[in-house]
Amino acid sequence: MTPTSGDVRERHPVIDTRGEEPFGFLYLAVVATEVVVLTGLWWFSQYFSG
Amino acid sequence: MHPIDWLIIGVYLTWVIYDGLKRSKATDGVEGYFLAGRSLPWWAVGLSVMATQMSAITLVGTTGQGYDDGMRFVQFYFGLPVAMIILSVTLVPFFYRAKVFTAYEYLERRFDAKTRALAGLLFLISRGLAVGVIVSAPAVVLSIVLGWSLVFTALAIGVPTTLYTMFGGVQAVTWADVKQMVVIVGGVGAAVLVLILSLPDGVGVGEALHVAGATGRLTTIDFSLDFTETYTFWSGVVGGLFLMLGYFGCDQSQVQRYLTAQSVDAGRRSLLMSAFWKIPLQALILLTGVLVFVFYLFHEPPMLFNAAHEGEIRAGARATEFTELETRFHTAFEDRRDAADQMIAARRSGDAAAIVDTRGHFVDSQAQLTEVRAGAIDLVREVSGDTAYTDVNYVFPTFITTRLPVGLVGLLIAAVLAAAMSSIAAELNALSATTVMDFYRRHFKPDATDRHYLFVSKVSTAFWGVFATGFALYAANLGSLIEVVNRVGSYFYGSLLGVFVLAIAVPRATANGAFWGLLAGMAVVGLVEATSEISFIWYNVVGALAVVAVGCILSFLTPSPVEA
Repeated sequence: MTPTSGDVRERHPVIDTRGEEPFGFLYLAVVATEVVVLTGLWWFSQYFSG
Repeated sequence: MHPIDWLIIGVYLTWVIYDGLKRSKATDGVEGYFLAGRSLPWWAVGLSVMATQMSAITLVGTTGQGYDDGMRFVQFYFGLPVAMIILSVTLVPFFYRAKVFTAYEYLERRFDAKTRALAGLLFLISRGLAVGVIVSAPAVVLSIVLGWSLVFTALAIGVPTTLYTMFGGVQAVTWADVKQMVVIVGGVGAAVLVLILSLPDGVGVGEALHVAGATGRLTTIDFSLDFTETYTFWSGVVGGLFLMLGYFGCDQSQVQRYLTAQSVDAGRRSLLMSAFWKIPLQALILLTGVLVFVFYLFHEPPMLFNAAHEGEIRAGARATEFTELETRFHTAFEDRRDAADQMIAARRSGDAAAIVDTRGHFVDSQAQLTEVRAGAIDLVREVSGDTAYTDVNYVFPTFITTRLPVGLVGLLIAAVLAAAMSSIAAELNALSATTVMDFYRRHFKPDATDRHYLFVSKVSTAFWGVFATGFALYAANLGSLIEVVNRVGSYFYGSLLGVFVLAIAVPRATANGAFWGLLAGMAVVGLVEATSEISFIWYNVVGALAVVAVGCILSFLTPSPVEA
């Protein structure tokens, strides 16, 4: 079927977490790693630039 | 260059082409050619995602930036990890479950054919020109640094990449990316090791970094809220978030990477690999540039790393002026080296007053050296008429070819080629996918056989490869055009992201709202660029918000198709 202009077509849930395994822990690990890395960079900057 | 270095480069190129051609046997249909039959493991896709993002100019430009300006560029990537999480729960499952070949195909299912065509066309224009620049920039640098002809370096990058991408499809691209990431990380690691071992006897890494830190080169985080500044914490976290959402979520060259994964979960994991490693890797590359700066504290650097116009100046009317600058540069270097030695000695003594005093002297001597260098750059610009002349991208290649031992020169040149080829291959594959799936099959020949589409896909890849290499030779002489190409990308990502936000987050959004919203978003970005001084990283935020706002207004002003 050829889609037509203005037609509200396929819709999905905005957040889709379905999968074979839960990723919640991995997402938390990403955030925690970023916090640690940014803190490390800030410390590095302060230590060597001061 | 030593024959052993030639041998290493030759082995690397042969290995990549041979493996790519070998993989063409596994590519027996168009789904295999563009999506590898959705069969690739997450770690290979993840490395491919990272390799695609890291072009040669990222490698040589970032190290040059570390040398010249320090590590603050790392803030550009601060939004990336969160962007990857958002994409993992939104666009990755959308694209994967929709079984699409291209991101723009999804826009037709959600909106209409014209929105898909517009998005696909924008991609082809912006990335088609960009891939020429991705070939051109390292080709120019290698040509000047190694003394090879520009045609040779452009062909050395363009031809092997086109060959293995054309015959091997996405399988060849991905597995070549895996090898290329190993070569890149191995090469950078080896360079860091050599730089550390090259420190003068008795000078520790920490002491040397304290000296570099005095110049501000180790300042990694700037919390100032300045919209005209590209590299701040806030521009990275907010502007960078939108840029990364647009790049990884809407650019076919990246979307196609994770569409090749075995499952939705594998696609998510491949993106999360970048979430974990991108910032540390980028920090390492910038630190490499800072270590090159440290190296040249104790070994005299060339006054200008880009020697493109040096012969012309030495033979011209202002040769004496240039020679005088060289003499001043040599004196300034000697003074700076003494100041660095004194600063290190003061730190060892623990005398607080001496530390402050010697640090001040070092900063002054660095400023003196910088001033002479700036004078030399101005002279080159005036004499040559090349107002875009810079030497930042030449720092690392010059260090490689003049200071590294035999063997490592070949490895590092191979790493620069690998960085170029990995990005170009992904772009060629994605350009071909969009050309064939979004235009040829959709609008010109919808009912042909799979074998026909496979053939056309290979021809299309070859076309884009020839175009990129040809355009690279043309773009090499047009500095301003390169800037234009980069700006087109800034117009594109935010606005396209806005369309996808409309598609997934605004159920009431209509096709006309999305289409005109996309055009309006780019117009607003153009207006903002023309009337304000804000950094281009914020264009992604402006573009996305403008598309969503205009798209929503237009959609809500027209009757819902359900109500009509």
